[in-house]
Parts: sequence; C-alpha cells; structure tokens
Amino acid sequence: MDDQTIQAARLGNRLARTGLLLELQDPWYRLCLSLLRDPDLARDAVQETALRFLRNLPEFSGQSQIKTWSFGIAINVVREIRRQRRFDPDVDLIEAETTSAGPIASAVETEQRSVLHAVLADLPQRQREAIVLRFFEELSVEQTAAAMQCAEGTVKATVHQALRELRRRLKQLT
Amino acid sequence: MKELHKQFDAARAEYQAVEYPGNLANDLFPSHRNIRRFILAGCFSAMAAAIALLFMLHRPVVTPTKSVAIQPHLTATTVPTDQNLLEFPQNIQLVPEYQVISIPSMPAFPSWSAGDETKSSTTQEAT
Repeated sequence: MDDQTIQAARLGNRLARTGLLLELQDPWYRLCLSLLRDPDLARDAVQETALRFLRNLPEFSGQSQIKTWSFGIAINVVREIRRQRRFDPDVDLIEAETTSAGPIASAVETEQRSVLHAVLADLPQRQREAIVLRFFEELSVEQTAAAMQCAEGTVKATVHQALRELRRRLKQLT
Repeated sequence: MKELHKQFDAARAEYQAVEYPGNLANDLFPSHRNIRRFILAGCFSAMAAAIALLFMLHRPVVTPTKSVAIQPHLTATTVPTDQNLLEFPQNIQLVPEYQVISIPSMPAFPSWSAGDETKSSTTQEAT
C-alpha cells in the first residue's frame, strides 16, 4: 500500500479505495475470525469495519501504518458485536465458540490443526486480542497498543498473562 | 517453551492461510454491477434507436403532389351590383287561365247474378 494510493483513497478515489479494501480484506477477516470464531459473524464484522474504515479514512493522519490503524477499527467492531451477542438471550456466543465447526473452532477435533486455537478460545477477550495481534499478525508492542487503544505497558502485561495461561493449559492438554 | 513455540508456528501458519471469502469491494459496492448493467442496457437501447432511425431515414418516401398555391389576386370576387341582376319580367301571368275539367264516367262492374250463372255452368262441367 503506497502513500499515493492511500492519499487518493482519502480524497475519495474509488479505484484506490477498492485497492485498499482488496489489500486489507484478508487481514481483517483473519483478525475478526480469530476473535469471533464464527465465519458469518466475521464476515459481517469485516464489512462493518470496511464501512467505518472508508468513512474515517479522510481523518487518517498517517502517523501509524494504515493496517494497524484499521485493526483498531476492526477490534472496536468485534468488541461491539461480542457485546451485542452477549446481551442477546437467543445467542450464546461462548457456546457457539466451543461447538462451532468453523476452520479455527475445529482445531481440537482435527489433530492436524493447531491446538493453540482451541486454547486461545478460552482466554479472556483482551488477552486473545493481544496474542493474535502480537504473534499472529506480528505487530510490535507499540502497534498492538495502537490497535487495542491502550498503553504499551498494558499490552505487555496482557501478553504476559496470556502466555502464562496458554502454557498452563497446554500442559494440562499434554 | 519449545512446545509453545511449535504451537505458535503452527497456529500462525493456519491463521495466515485464512482468506476473506469473496470480494469485499463487490460486497460493499454492489452498485458497480448495476451501473454496468445500466450502461449495457443504455447501449442496447441506443443501438436499437439508431437502427430504427436508419430504417426511418432510408424507407421509400412518397412525395406529395405539388400543390398549387392560390394567389390571392386571382380569386374571383363578386360585387353585388344592380347591373348584374337580370330584370324581372313584367308580363308573366301569375294566375292560370280557367279550364273546364270533365271527368269520364266510372267503368261498370259485372252484377252478382251474372256471376252466379257462370259459376253454375263451371260446376256442371266439373261433375
């Protein structure tokens, strides 16, 4: 994603915006799917993220990478969806996470896949966000903090807690 | 620690393999297709209109007969004057002359008795 494309997209160039969406759709989907663990919900979240991204694009200052900045939007959307689903009496997101047959949820059932995803599903939301951004998206602490909209120290502490919890649970599994 | 690293590597590979199903831009801007369809429909209708226009222009034209312009100074004008009127004849007899009309007498019809005689003779012949 070069600066010219971003600048053109900021000014409303449709082609540039389409290019940006094409570039960001996969990272957004990965992030949303790993946090929501439901392909349909993740797709909805990506579309909502894209709409907000395009709406707020003129305000993008360029201080951070556009991908990191857009992850902040995606995480907000995911948090909102989770909040809505948690208060919806008809939908039990926690149960859906453990019984969903999505590509990540079936990790425990199919031994070919990583068991880490299954363990990640049990982590608190903040810890999961931190792990996904830091180790799967390979963002720096600073970028993770920008995406999660918190301090760098908070990211470090959250990651530390998450890793300790992951180790403990993996030990239990093996 | 090594085990966790292995798990992270495997999970990362799995994570990176995930792709968005479809095209986000198309999902968000379905009007792209509509615009394309609209343009196509417009092109087709324009072509149809052009063909219709060509047919209209190249069809045999029936030229109307040359109309004679009526010149206003040649039109006949009648001026009612006393000179144009014929004089009414003075010696016309308005009342017809008296004539004696004689109606001839009505023709006589045969009497009933004469008819009976004829009838009886016919009956006799039949018997």
